[in-house]
Amino acid sequence: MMIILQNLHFLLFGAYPDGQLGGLALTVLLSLIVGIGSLAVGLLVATLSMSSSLGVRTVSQTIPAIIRSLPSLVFLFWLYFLLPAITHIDLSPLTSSAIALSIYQGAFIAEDIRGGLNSVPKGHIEAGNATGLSTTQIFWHIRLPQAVRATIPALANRYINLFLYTSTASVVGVMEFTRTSTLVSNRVLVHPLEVFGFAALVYFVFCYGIAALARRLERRWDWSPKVTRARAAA
Amino acid sequence: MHLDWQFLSDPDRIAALASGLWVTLILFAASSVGAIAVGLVITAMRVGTNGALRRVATIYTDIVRNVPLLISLFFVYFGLTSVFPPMSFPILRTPYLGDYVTVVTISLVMGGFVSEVIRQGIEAVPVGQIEAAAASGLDSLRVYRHVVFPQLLPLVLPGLASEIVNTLKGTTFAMTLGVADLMWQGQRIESETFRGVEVMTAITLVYFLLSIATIALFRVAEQRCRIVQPGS
Amino acid sequence: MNRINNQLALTPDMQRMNDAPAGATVSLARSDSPTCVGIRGINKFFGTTQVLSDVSLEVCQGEVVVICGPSGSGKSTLIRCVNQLEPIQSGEISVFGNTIDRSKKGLISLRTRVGMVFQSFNLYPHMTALENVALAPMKVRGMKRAEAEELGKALLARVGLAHKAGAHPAFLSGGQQQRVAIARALAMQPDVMLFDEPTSALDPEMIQEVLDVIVSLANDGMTMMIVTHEMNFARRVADRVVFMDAGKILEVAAPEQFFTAPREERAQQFLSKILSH
Repeated sequence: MMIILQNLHFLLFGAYPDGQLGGLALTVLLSLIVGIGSLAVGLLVATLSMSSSLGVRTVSQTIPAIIRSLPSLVFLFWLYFLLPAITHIDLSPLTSSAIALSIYQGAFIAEDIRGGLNSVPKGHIEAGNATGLSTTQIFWHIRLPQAVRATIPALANRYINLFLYTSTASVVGVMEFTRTSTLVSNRVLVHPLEVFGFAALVYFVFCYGIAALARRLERRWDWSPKVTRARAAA
Repeated sequence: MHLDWQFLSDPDRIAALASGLWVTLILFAASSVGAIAVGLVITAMRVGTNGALRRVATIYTDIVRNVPLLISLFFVYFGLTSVFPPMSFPILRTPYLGDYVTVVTISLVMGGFVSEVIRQGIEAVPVGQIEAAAASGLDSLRVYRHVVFPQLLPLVLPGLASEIVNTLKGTTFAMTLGVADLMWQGQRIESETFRGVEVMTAITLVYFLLSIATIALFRVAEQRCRIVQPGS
Repeated sequence: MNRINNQLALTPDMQRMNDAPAGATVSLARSDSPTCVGIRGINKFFGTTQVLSDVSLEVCQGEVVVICGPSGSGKSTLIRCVNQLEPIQSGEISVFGNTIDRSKKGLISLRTRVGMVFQSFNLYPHMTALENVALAPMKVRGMKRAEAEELGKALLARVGLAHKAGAHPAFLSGGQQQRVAIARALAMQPDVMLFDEPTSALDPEMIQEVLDVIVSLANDGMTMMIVTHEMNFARRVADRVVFMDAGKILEVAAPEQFFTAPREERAQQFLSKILSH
């Protein structure tokens, strides 16, 4: 226990303020960046996959499928070497991790979004057509709200996975929570169970938080028909 | 971007990569078998009648699914060597400790995921089937063997395919424990030749092929287990 | 339509029935027939909701009892308690004088004597009709495959489906599936058959073929408890009609009496609604 308290600052914040931000704070920051980035990528790919052009559709479905089949570490390493070679810019491990993970998780989110959009019953779309709504209107007012609600469970799982696997970045040297925990444990040498146990606990708590948030959102946006006693009596 | 694939013509390098691939395959196979075994045990506990076992199984799956695999690997590896120092326990002085820890840890963690897939499959089998079988006097074991299991298989195979692919993905973290798998070999070649792009492209391709081979295998299995449907 | 065997002696059970006080245990059965199924003072709860209140009923061998009533009256729950698909919180159920033993062996031995046909057929989709019928005899009674298949074919012929022995349920109509389900229940050669709304899930044109099979079973002397909404069928086949509402047995009467002049007001309301269309 004492070990954790003694090293708490390093575990949580890395070398900050004497150096770069690290530790749990960096994990959270990286997760937020990747969370937003991957959502953007996912939305883009999902939109492209519904395009009227067969070529665009095929490419926007094949490439993410290939990315999804790869281990995240392999994809990360590959981009870590590939991006600087293509762009001729030297990228820090943190930057290439953020980019690689955004693309990687984005490929999964695209699939989740497509699933959510497709889960809206065809009957609703037909009803919209029958009452004269345009395709865009149907998309915005009928499909999207229901798709959002339907995608929440898959998205929550994806974000939990995203948060947990920012730890992949530690292998390329990013000083996030897993890396600082490893460094502390290797420095102290005799208390690995406490240090890694603490790390596991922290990840666990965060994941539970994400899951709880998702459940609350699901309940708030639950549009399934509910007949209450009062309404039935009237 | 100037690509230099020369390192591929060097037989030593090829041998190193091949050995790495072999290690990866063994880790993959062993972890998959382990994950399914653990998954079956956990599922049996989850759907069983013993309340205490059920709670243990639920807590177990919650824990392993909410902790990153890297942390689990380090926890087991460093924890094991700290509680049982190889100095005093010669059995742990093997150079393959990382390999063993990897297989055991991945089996335990992925077992939690596999058990979720199996459990959802069991719940998807209509309750009426079990009632009908029980009503004609079959005992639980026979009900599972003849009525539930055949209907379970086609429901479970797709989810199982994706968890087995995740098991393959998990093996890539073994390199952090010094296991000489494909990734580790690739890293070594990169550090010697500085041809990171070429090496990693080759390795990425290999992992991609392994993934789709696994999925194809499961698709074949799904076809063979399909229950006769009208119109087929 | 008296199918009851007069020559059987009074068992202690029947003695008890004769001495029982009047009340909900109204039984118009002949007192010299052995009790197949004895239901005494059952109370059942789903959570905090009481679904069966102090229900008692005696079914004699060879008798056909039809149970009817509005939705939620507990009629399906009642027969599911007989073969212990639902547990009871208090009261007693006995089959042939033996109180039901909830151990594994006890349940299996009970279920080999009590057959059940479900509203949603519940045929095993991965097996042919013949395999569906032959499974239990092979695995529970240890019959050899050839023998079980012989039995299966005979039973499928009995329900008029010998030509469909090799078909999977997906290729059978609803009425055919239900008849296979009846053959499957008969395969264990039960003493009592339970029917839980056997025709409620069928399209109208297929109801008659199933009812005809049930009537022929009744003519062969099978003891049956049938939950159904088919009133004309009930009139034809029942020895007694039991009317339930809100978890209680309100009226037990012979079919002619029940359908022409039911005593209870709830029964009158129910009949007028159900017979009006």
